Parts: sequence; C-alpha cells; structure tokens
Amino acid sequence: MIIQRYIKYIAINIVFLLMCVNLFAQGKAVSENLVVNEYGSPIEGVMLISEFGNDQFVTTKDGTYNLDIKDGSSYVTVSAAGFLNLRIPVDQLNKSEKIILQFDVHKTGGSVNMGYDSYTRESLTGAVSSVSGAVLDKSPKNILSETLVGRLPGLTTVSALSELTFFGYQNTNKAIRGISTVNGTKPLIIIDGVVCPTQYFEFISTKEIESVSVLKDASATAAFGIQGANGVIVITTKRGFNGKKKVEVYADQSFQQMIKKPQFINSARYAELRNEAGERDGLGAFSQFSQDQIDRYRAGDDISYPNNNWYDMFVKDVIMRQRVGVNASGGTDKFKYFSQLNVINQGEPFKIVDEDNRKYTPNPHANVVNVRSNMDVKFNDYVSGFMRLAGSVKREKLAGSSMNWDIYSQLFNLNPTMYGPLSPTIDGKKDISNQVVTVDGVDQPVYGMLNRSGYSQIIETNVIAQAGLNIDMSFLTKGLSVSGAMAYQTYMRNSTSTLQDYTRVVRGKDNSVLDNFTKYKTWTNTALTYSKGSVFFYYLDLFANMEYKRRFGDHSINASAHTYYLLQEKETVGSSNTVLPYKRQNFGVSALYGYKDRYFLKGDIGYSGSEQFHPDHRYIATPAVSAAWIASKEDFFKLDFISLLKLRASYGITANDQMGDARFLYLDNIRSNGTELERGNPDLAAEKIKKMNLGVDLGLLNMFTLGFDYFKNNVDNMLVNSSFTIPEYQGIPLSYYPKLNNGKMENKGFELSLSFNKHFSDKLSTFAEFSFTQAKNKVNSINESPYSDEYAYPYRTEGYRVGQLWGYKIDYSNGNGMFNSAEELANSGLTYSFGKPRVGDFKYQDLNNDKVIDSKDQAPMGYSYFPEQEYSLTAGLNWKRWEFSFLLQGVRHSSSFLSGVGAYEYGSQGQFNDIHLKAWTPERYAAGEKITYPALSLSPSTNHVNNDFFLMDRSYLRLRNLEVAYNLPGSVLKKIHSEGIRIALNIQNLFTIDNMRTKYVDPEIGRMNTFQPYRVYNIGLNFNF
Amino acid sequence: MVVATLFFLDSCADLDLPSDGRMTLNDIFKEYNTSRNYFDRCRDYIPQVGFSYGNTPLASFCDEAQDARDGVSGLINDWYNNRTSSSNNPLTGGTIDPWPYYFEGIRKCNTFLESINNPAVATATIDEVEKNGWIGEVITLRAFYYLQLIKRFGGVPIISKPYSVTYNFSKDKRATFEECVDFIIADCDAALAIPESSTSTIGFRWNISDNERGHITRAFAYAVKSQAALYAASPLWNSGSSKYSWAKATEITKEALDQCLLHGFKLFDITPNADIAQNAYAYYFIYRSDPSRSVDKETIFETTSARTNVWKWAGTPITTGVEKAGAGPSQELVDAYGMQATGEMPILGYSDASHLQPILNSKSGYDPANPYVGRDPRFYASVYYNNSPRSLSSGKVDKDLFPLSFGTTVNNVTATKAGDEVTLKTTGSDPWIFTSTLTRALTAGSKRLVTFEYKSNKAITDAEFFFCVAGGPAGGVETGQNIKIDQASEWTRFEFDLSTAISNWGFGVNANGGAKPENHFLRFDVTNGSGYEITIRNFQIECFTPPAAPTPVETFVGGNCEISDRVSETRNTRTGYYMRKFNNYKSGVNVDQDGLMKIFRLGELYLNFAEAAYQSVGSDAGVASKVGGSTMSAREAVNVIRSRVNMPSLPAGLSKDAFEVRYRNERQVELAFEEHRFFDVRRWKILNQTDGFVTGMKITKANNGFSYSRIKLKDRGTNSDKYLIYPIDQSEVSKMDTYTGTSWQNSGW
Repeated sequence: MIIQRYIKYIAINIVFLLMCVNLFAQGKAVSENLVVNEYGSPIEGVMLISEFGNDQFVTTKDGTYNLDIKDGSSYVTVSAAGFLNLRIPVDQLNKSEKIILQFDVHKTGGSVNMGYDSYTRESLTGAVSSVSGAVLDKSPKNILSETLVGRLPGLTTVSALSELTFFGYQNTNKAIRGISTVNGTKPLIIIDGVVCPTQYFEFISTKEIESVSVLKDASATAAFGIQGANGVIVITTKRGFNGKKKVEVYADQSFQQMIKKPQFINSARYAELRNEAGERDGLGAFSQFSQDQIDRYRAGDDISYPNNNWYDMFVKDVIMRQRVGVNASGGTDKFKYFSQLNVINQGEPFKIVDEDNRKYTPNPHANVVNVRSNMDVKFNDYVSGFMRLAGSVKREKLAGSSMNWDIYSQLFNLNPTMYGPLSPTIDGKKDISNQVVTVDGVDQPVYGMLNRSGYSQIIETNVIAQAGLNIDMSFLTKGLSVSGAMAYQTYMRNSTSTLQDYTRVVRGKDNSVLDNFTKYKTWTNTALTYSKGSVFFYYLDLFANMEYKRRFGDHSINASAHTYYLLQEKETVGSSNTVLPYKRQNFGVSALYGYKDRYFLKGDIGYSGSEQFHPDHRYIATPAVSAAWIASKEDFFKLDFISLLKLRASYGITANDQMGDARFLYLDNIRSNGTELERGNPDLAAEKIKKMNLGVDLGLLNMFTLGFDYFKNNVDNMLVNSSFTIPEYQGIPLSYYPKLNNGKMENKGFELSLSFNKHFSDKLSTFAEFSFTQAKNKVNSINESPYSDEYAYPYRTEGYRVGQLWGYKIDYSNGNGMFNSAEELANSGLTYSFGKPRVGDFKYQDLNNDKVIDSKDQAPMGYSYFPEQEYSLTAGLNWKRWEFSFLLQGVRHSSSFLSGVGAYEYGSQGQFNDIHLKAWTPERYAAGEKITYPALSLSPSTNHVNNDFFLMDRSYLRLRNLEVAYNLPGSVLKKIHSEGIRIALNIQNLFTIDNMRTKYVDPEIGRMNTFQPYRVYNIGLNFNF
Repeated sequence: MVVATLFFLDSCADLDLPSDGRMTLNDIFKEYNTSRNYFDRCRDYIPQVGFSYGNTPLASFCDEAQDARDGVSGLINDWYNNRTSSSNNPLTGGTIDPWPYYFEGIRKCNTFLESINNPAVATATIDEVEKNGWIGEVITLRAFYYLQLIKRFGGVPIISKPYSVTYNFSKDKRATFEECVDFIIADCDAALAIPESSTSTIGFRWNISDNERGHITRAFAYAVKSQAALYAASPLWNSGSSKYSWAKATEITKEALDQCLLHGFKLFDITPNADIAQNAYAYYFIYRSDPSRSVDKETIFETTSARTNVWKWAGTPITTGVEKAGAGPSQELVDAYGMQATGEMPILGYSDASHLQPILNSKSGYDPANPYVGRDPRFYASVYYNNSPRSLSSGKVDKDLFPLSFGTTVNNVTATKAGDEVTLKTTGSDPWIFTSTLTRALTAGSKRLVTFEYKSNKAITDAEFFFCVAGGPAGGVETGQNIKIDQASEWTRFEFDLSTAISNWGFGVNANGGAKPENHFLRFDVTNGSGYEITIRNFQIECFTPPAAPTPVETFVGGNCEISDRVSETRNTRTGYYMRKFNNYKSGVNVDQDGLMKIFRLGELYLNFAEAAYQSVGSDAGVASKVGGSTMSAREAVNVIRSRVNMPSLPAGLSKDAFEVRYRNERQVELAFEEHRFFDVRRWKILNQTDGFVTGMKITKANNGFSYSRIKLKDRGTNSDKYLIYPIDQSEVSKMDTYTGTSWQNSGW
C-alpha cells in the first residue's frame, strides 16, 4: 500500500517538524500587550505587521502579542478577519494600553491578494471579491471549485459532472462575469503567485487555503497580459506566523445521496407504454406485447416475466466519505511554518456482486492524500526566503476501464422486462449459462461493466514546489525589495488496466421458456490482460519581482514590477504538436498611489508574448488605469447615516491568446509525408478585451452595505474562425483555414450586493449578504453570412448571445400545441421537412409562412447554457457557543434542450420518464385529461427536435449549504488539554427549487443519464491544540 | 537568485516554434521523396466505397434495400422519414461529406500540378517520364473528383489552380453540368495524350503491378470519360441543348470500351469450386482484384482498403458476431432478377400503387408459389432468400482414404492391369476377386464408402462385397445387399456405403474373429456370370463424417432469420431478404473475406455503351470502332454481360421502349448494390416512381410449404423532385449568397 506508507512518512515528518518548532519557539519576550474588540474581549489571530513587513506577530488566544520592531518601520498595521485595519505608530505600540479593533461592518478591512501583490481592501480601485478558506470549509466537497459556488460574486460555475470518485479535475465550467469572447473563457488560476493549469488546482483542500480572490476588471487583471482577459482566480494558502503554535486535528464523516433518483417504470407499465407508442405509430394496439404478456408481467410471479429495477440493483442509496487531517502552524521571528496533511476516502457509488472465482475486486472508489508544507525563513535582516511544497496523491479504482458516469448512463438502456442480470444455468449449454444478459442494441450491459470487465488503477500525482528569495533593499531606499522565485508543478497520471471481456447473451422472443439465450455479437469471456498508460506534464514558472511600498505622511505608494516566464511541457502517449512545449512570457507593472487614505490612483500595464503569433505581432501591451475616492472620509461629508461612500472606476485592456487547442496560429503546417494541416495567418494578434468598471460602495447606519458595479467588456479584434466567411469549395478544410482577427463582441452587466452586519453584543452577532450578478453578452460580428430571406431569422450568431439556442416554436393556438385530430392535421396544410407528423404530434409555427416546417422556421429561444444571472444569499448567526449559517444560491436565464434519456421515449428499447406517462392519446384527449407529452413513438418522430417543449429552463435556487456548529465550553477542553473543540453539522444541497418539466433531471446537470448532484450530510469534529 | 532568474528569463525568452517537422511547399518539392509523397496524397481522396453511410451501403438509400435500423435514430432513420434538409443531409453524414471532401482532393491535385510545373518550386531531380506519369495520374484524379461532385450536386465551380487564402470569391459561379463534363473529359484526354513510356514501371500506363494498387491507369481515365459522357447525355442533365447527345456519348463510351478490350480487359469468368462461390459472378465480388490483371481482368479500379463487411453490417442473425441485419434487399430488386430458362423478366410492373399486386409475365415461367426457383444466377449470388443455405459448405470434412488394389486370388475372373486401371472379365458363374489388405484399421466415421471409377460393358444388378480377414475363410461376411452397377462407357463414379452392413454384422468379423484390422480386405463378387467386362480405377475405401446439411436462412415468420417489423429488432430483415453480394460465407469474427466494392469495372463500360447506343442508333445497330476494336450493338453488349451468368440472350428486334425496359432491368441486376442504382434512377428521372418506398415478402409456414404475401414498408418521402440532386450545405449557400448575390442552392432545397 503505497498510500499508507506515504501517509506514515508524512506523519513522521510532521511530528518531527513540531518538535523542531518547539525549539524555535523559545524567543525572548520583549513586551506583552493585548488586542481586544469593541466589547473588550481579547481577539485571537490578529496580525501585527511592520510597515516594511519584516517584523510581525500573531496574537494568541488570550489576545496578547509580543512584537519587537527592528526594521526601522514607522508604524505597525494591525489587522484581523472581521475587523477594520488599524495603523499604530511604532512609538505608541508598546504602551500597555489595549489595542481596540473596530468591527468591519462594511468589509473595508484586511487586504486582498491580487496575485503578485496584496493591497488593503480600502485602497481597492477595481472589482475584486474574496472569501476565506474557513468559509469554503463549510462545504463537504471533494472538489475545490464546488466549494466556491455562490461564495464569490462574479464567479459563475456550472457543474457538468456530479460524480464523486473522479475528484481531482472534475468538469466544472467557470467564468468570471460571463463570457466576453467566443474563444477560451477559462479564468487564469494563480496559486500563491504562480500561474497554474486551470484544472489542476482542484485537489487543494479548503483547510490549507487562507483565501480565494476573484479579480474581475481591467485594473486587477491587465498586469497578467495575454492570460488576464477572462479574469483571475487567486488562491492563497496559509502561512506560518510568529506566535503560539497551533495544531488542528479534524475528522469528517459524510453521507452522500443523490438528490434525484429516476422514476422506476415497472415491466407491465413499460410494456403498455411500448404498445401505446406502437399504436400511435399505426401498428395496432398490441404490436409490442400481448395482453397476456402484460398480465404476466403485472402478476410478477413468473421468473420468465421479470420486473427488474436495474437502478436499485446497481446504484447505492447512500455513499460514505471520510476525511481526516491534521495541520500545524506557527513559528518565530526567524522561521514560520504551516504544515498540513489531509486524507479523503470516497466510497463507491455502485453495488458490486461478489462473484465466485473472481480474483479481483472491481469496486470503483478513490482516495486522496494531500500535503502541504509552507516555510518562511528569515536569514538576516535583509534576506529572507520561502519554500512551499504541496501535492496530492490520488488513487482511483475503476471497474473495467469505464468511468463511473459511463456505467451510470448505461443503466438507462436496460428495460425492466429484460431478464437478468445473468442468464440461468441451462443444462448442457455451458456457454450461455450464467452469462451477462443484454438486449439488441445494448453493447454494454451494466452488470458486465461492473463485474466482469476487470479493473483499472489510476495513480494521479500533483506536486507544486515553489522556492524563492526576497531581498530587502532598504539600504538603497526604504520600502524597496526584490524577489525571485521558481515554481514547478507537475501532474502525473499512471494507469494500469487489468481488463477482461465477457460474453453477452440475448434472450429469444419466446417468453415462455428460459433456455432461449443466444450469444450476442462477438464478445466472449477472456482472461485478464494487463496494460499501462501514463500522462505527464510540468509547468515551470520563473519569476522576478520588485516591490516598493512606502508612506510619506498622507501619501502612500505601493508599486510592483514583475516578470515571469512560463513553460509547460506535456509528455503523453504518442506524439503530436500538442506535446510541443507551451511558452509564454509576461512583464507587468502595477503602481498605486494613495493620498490621505481616501484618494487612490492605480496604473497597471502588462507586456506579454505568446507563441501563437508572428514575431511582429507577438508582444502586446495591456494598460489600465483606475481610481477610487472614499468620499465618506472627507471632512465635508456630514451625513451620519452614511457610514461609507466609496466610488471606483477603472478602464483598461486585457488580452487573450487562446483559440481552442490550436497552436502557432501564424504558421503553415505541411508534413513531409505530403499532408497539409493548418494554414497560418502571420497577421494575427492577441485579442484585446477592453474593460470598463464603475462601482460604488455605500455603507448605511454602520449596519448595511450596498455595493454596485457596472461593467462593460468590448472586443473588436476577436479571433474568429474563417468558417463563417470562407466557402468550403476552395479546398482547405475550414478548421485549417487561417483565422482572422476581426470579430466583435460585447459583454456587459452589473453586480449588486446588499449586506447587513451587526454585533448586538459580545455574544450575539449576525450577518446577511445578498448578491446578484448579471452578465449579458452579444456577438456583434463574426463575419457571419446571413441565410436567405426565406429564413425567419437569417442570422444565427450575430446579434445573439454566445451559445444562443435555436429551435422550433410550438403553435399553442389550439391549447395544447398538438394535432388533436386527423382533420386538424390535414387542415393545417403543413408539411414537415423532418418526417411526417402524426395525430398527437407537435404543431410547429410556420414562421416564414411557406407551409413547410424546416430549418427556415427555427427561432431563437431561451438563453444559452451558461447562466446570465446568478444570485446568492448567505446569512448567519453566532450566539454564545453556537454558530449557524446558510447559503442559498441560484441562477437565472440559463437554458438548454433536453434530449435523449429522460426526454425522448424511443431510445434504446424504450426509455420512459414521468412526462411520458400521460402522453397524447385520443382517449386522454377526449376525456380532457392533462396531457404532458405528445404522442409516443417507437422511433424518432417529428417531436424529437429542438423545440420549446424540450427547452428546459435551467434556473434554480438551491440551499447550497447549511451549517450548525457548537464549540465546547472551556471546562470540557481543559480536561483534554485542548484549546477548542468544534462539532459541526453541514448539509449540502438540502433542497432545490426549479422549473424543470421533469422531476428527474437536475437543472444544473441538465441530463438524466449522468449522476445527479449529491445531497451531503456531514458531521465534522475539530480539535485545536 | 534574482540575478540568476533574470538571466535565465532573458535566455529563455524564445517563443519561436522549436523544429517539429513542419515544411513549406518549396521544401516539399525540393526533394524527390517528398515530392512523391505529395503526389501520393493526391490519391487520398478516392472514396472507400462500401458501407460508408453509417455502416450501410448507398443501396439502403434507394429502392435496392431497406436497412433494419430504420427505427433507430441515425442517418437511415432521417432518410426514411424525409428528415433531410440543406443543413441536415444524411447522405453527407457518412464517412465522406462529398462537397468539402472532393474539393479538398481537387485543391490537392491543383497544388501538385501548379508546383510540379513550376521550375522555381519543383527543384528536385525527377525522371521526366516518371514526372509525366504523376501528372497524368493527378489530372485524371482531378477529373474523377469532379465527376463525383457533379453526379451529386450538378454543376460546380471549376477550379484549375489553387486559390490563395486571400482569394476573392465574389466572381465565382457554378459552372453548368456540361461545362464540368467538358473539363473532366479535357482532363482525361490530356492525361491520355501523355505518351506511354517504354519503361513498364513508370509513366501513365495501362499496366501496373500488384504492388501499385491504388494507382491510376489509362483504363481509369477511359472509365471516367465513359461515365461522365453517359451522365451528361441522360435526361436529368441534358434537356436537349447539351453537346453531350446520345450520339456523342455513344462515341465516347464505345472508345472507352474498345480501348479496354484491346488492352486485355475481359469479364471475370472463372468458375469457382462449389464450396467457394456459386458462379463466376458471385466469385468476382468476393475476389480481391489484382492490379496486374493476371487473374481478374475485369476490374478497372477497386476500393483500396474498405471491405464491405456484409457479414457484420448486413448479416443474418445466425451469423456469429453479426451487428445488424442492415441492408435487406427489396422485393423490387428481387423481382428484377429474370428467369434463367426463358430469359424473361418475371414481373413487368405492379398494378397497384403499393406494389403489392405484381403484373406477372406469363412467358417467363415464374411461379409465385415457388418464387425463388429458376431465377437468374445473379440472384443466388446476391440475395439470401427464405431457405437458401447460409453457407456453401457447412464445415470441415475429415476424410480418410484407404487405396485398394486387386489381389491375385480369383474365381472365374481375369484381371488385367494397365497403369492405374484394372479390367475384370468374368468367365463363369459366381465370379469374384480379393482386394489387397487395408494395412491399417478403418478410422471412425459415420460413412465408409467403397468408391471407384469404372467403365462397364453391361449393367450388373447383384454385385456384392464380402469382408474378409487374411487367414480366415475365403467367404467372410457378406454385405447382404444386391448392388447395382450401371453400364457405362465413360468413366463413372461408383460408390457404395458399407455402414449399414458394418453396423449389421461388424467389419471383418468372421468365424475365427479377432484378427488384426490391418489384415482386413474385401472380396468383390460380380456374381452375374460370364461376359461382363468392367474397368476400374481409383479404387478405395473412404471413411468420413459427412457435413451436416447447411443451415437454411429461414426468413419466414418464426424462422431462425425471421422477418420483423419491430424497431428494436435490428438483427432481423425488414424485407424478408438479406444481402449476399460481396459476402463470402466464410467471413466472420476472426476472418474477413468479404469483397471490396468496385469503383469501375468492365461490366459497367459494356452497359454504359449499350445505353448510349440504343438511345442513339437503336438496340440492334452495330457501332463501328474507331480505335480498331470490333463492331458491336447495344443488344450484343448486354448479351455479353448476360452470357457470363448463362442467361439467355435478349431477342433481336425489340422496340426502343421495349429494349429500354430490358436494359434498365439488366443494369439494375448486374450493378446491384454497387452505388449505381441510386444515381441511375435520378439521371433517368424515374425517382418519383421508384423510390417512394420498398416492399418486402412476408412468408408464413403453411401446411406443406410456404405462403407468400407482399408487404409495403413505410413511405420514405424521399422521391420528390428535389431529391434528384443533393442540396448544397446551407452555410455554403449563405456564404456564396453574400459574396455573389446569387443563390447557389439546387432547386427545391
């Protein structure tokens, strides 16, 4: 067991580290003082840091600190989560007065990490939101992205996969402030100042995160150059500190249950529905099953007439997950550390049968260990350094080589009348006895996938190593420092597959006997075979950074210049041009000038190069300017009920060089074997997205905060495919045709937040925050050639949002939108270009009035899959030892077409869902019953196209998270020498309100044949020492 | 560290592409090898015809067949439900989307021709003859790619030079069909004008070697001309004003046929063994052509790599490993196969709109109660019908042979040996003679035959064999049966099964019993007295287990391959028939021996000529050759095709209309499933009569036989006039509308 050995190794290291720390911790106390809140209670974890940052201390549980200023700073900044920053002149520091921190009602305290540098929140000129790791930890999820949902206004996530064991790089689509280009829209991810591949940060546990910030406007992202256009997610991990060491041990037990379970249609009902479909197809009333057969299915007492609930047979109701971990942090003036070990065991979602003679267990589950060690060392007064080592090892097991969602999707292809899962023992016919049963058209029966396909083991390793030196150049001028760093991140995936194949059999038509199985297609039982595969790549970043930070009375300056070089190399099976190293280079400068802590002016510029473009167009400059004014600090500002008024504005350029997976967009690619691939366009340049942001923060009555940001992003040199203009007959495949630089698009919207924050007493406080984001985009030009005038809508892209849905409008003028009689069908005079409508089928609107329903009648409907609006409400209450909080999150203006399983009834050998149970029949229509679906069909009909019946509104409102926690009283703690014990109950996804037409498809996942989101009940225990 | 980092940054700031093997056109044509590679890539656009429309052949999209996946979403379902538009054309959804695909091929050819003819680019040293050979092939290819486009889309823009990426499209227009055919024929003529080289391995040639499979020959160029001219003269493309009259087409198709005949092309007529294929026609379609034409002299060009995989994609449910029943031949196609005895068409048409009431041809000898008897041999080669055996041989036969000769112990017989033959003459009553001993034990087997070939002057009615053991009594155990040997003046095979006797009495058991088996021998009693003279050779005992009778394909209701109309049963035929052409019955999971589709073959050239000739000069008038071949009439050309399969010749003196019926019937039958019928019904403009739906044959088991009832399958709706020509993809049309202001769309789409 490699993992176990690894855990042991790490545990020993941590213990060793703790012992060392004890040695370090015996520094000399200079003075002792106290930091308290407005009610006089001591505050733990307050950071006191000198102006130049070389001397710092963190207060202990009793609020005391111990700080000696040696770096010549003139003041000390005192800050703590939930409190306003306080600046104290050094000479006033060591008086034995209590430092009193004010509650941060309007969220203007603390600082925000902007990737390469951090700024006080007060001085922010742009649009940034952030959240602390402690808040993210309320969500018992395996994937970091999932804990971010609803916590960071402006960041919208859409989960496309709910599978639990695949954590690591789950398929979560993210965008910051919507979509501003038709090309790559993935935000840049920065971990501790290092550019990270977008997917490979998911393994980081919430316990090791200090904060996550989202940078949204040009002032915050321009310095990132060609990678900044889609916004930036900045993850900052925890650091050690000068203060009393802290050890946290925690354990979680989660119970996971899918929030939707498909409806079981029993055999008799299934048979009737198939007959109903056959009848509507004109095949007569009993074309698929006879009444006698249906009766036998219904009676259920004959094994020849099974009634199999495949879902219950293979899918577990409740899945278990455990998480345990330990972390330790602390340090001295010279050495600071944070170490963390986190282990998650994720149980399997399927029920596996214990087969005789099987020499392996295929249970598909996963576990992951992640570790982190952040160390900061001060070598002398001028030189300090850091080293951060983090990583994860994930071991995953798969049944056969199928991903769990593939197995899950196959469940829906099996109908309840199918015999199985295994054929019976048939005398004298060993080759068809106890073999996996399937039906015509289904090649992958679930039983075989789970139990007879062998297994695969996958080891995924992520390692991030960062090291750097910082030199305080105060000998030149006070406040100047330079640093250099190197960061290396690798991802390695090794898989070993031990696979076998298995015989499938199908049952004959005669249901009265049980020996009429025949082999299906070519498969046979085979012995296990072994194979290996691996993927490897690394990111190498080199950084140099220069920083100047100084206050001169009322004036403050904060400037940084940084440059980095990024190299990514991939190594994988085979060789193609995707394994060529990816290289980028960037140089950025940010400078902030502040006056009287109320006027702020910031300038940013990025200068970066991309391999995508010809040397003449390779480098691009991305400048931005921004300013902020805190009017409420002005002397003339006399309105008592307004406790904060801040105005912000920014404008700048950000850039993007990504265009799918294409590389070297300026080069032709002809190979020596005579094949011709991409043709390059040497005139291409990176697309520039111009961003404007106007914001206001308004604080009222020291209780309410109103925030409003308006933003507008514009691009007029968007990289677009030639496929919109170039005809195919010129002979170069359009995917290889040179791309162009002349698309135009806009994306605009606003963010609104309203919060309430109040401490009623030292023992009772409450907060609530509502936020709403809207981002609407519109493609103005991609050189689209319009369709002819015969089309109701000649343009399909220009003038619409990216991903606009198109479909047929149903003519509801008769009430139900269906042809209710043969006369009605005949009288309509309509012909469809996609089949012949039957009585009971949808009647579509003939938008161009040519009596033919075809693509010319398609109309825009709904929105795109990516939500245009997102809102959340989070609120909480702290009372004595109790904590209570919740997060409601919802999206609006998101839609897609439902198709396939759950929507179309003809799939496989009939797949029925709740909507099909009351389909159109003449009887139901005559009886005036509620009809939920057009006439059923055995095969694709004119109903099965994108139309406004299948258009699903993917809006939802979810109770994402609910937490109730209790902190044990001191009397209990003393007995076990603990500083704090916290017991928490977290519930994820307790309920969801949606507008789906079917009850069995989650609006966020949007498909029936994949895992639906999980509701998670989690009990967590935290011990602090 | 900082300094080091900055230094490193500076030195690594190279964002240029590292060498990854990219080349420019100039690089390519600098070297012989890369130039040849580029030339080779020009052939990459030759289609791999076969089951390339979502694992079904083009036959499923016309009146030749109905695919069994008709109720499952996909290309077939779209087509059968008329779910076809300018933005969703099932015919372009297969492995090839013809519009971009062939234009890519044309661009490749154009780029090659422009580069190789430009001395500034083509700087490699290449033998002039070889280079001209390449050029000949590439010009012919360009013509071929154009032919593929125009037979689907009608006239298309003619491009003879590669467009630059900044090309202005606004002046482009679709050429007429006629102009495109001009271009095609000019290209072929230009290629054919390249003199044949004296070196047999390079140049644009008639003859290539087997390892040059896929290369273009002169015959290919003639075949392209033949088809292009025929199409151009057809009603769909010639409304009367085109220069491609039937007379012009006759001239071109005759020259193509003559040139091929003069250069050794010949219909494939090798009669295979009975356990390989039923006849030469059946054998031809499972035979892998040899480009050197040492065996197959008919094939002009065959798909290079895509086997049809009929066994898998259009197999019977009793074939192990079958995926689906696929393209089930339609009743209309089955009706088209003539009667071998009379040469007549059995069905002359249908008296009802649903094709359920066939108009029987009383002269034909067709019996609706036994519809599969006495049909054109091509029927048996192309279609699995009810009760046809699934295989030609049904398994391996283990045979053990024990050669025998006659000994010297005789009674009233004289034995005279001459080489391998022995002549026995009886000289008195009860004549008999001992054979030599077996020398080893008879092996297990359900049959033990005494066999020989003989000539006999009289019929013998009561011969007998006795089993004897050396050392035992002279008589042994008799067979107990009076065996009849007919009089025969030619060598005749005689066989007699000893099994019954052995099971009755045991082999070689005699009064003493128990002797070693190798000492067994026979006594042959001629037993009819004197005056008989019989000459025998190849005298032996054969021990073997005969193969079980081949499993019949039972398409009747309840049979092992029964017809089904249930959408979920995709492994059962919809029509009552399964496809057999191209299918080697030996093909299966581990061995794929199915044939490859032909792109051009001599048979088509005969038919092309016949069509043009009967249209221009009538069916009986001879057309003289301009290139030294023989004079031939349309009827004679058709009869060449028919005589290969032993079908009686068409009668002389048929009217044009009567001949047209017979000709179209012949073309339908001969070229079935070969991607011709789909286009033929279009260019003849009979689509609306042929392609509304197909019918099948539902067979039920009656008391002592079968009863047959025709069934109509679902209306397809893909026979309206717009279906005569493919739609051009809507996005292409929109782009060209924007550039040129005129619509490029075909009518009706």
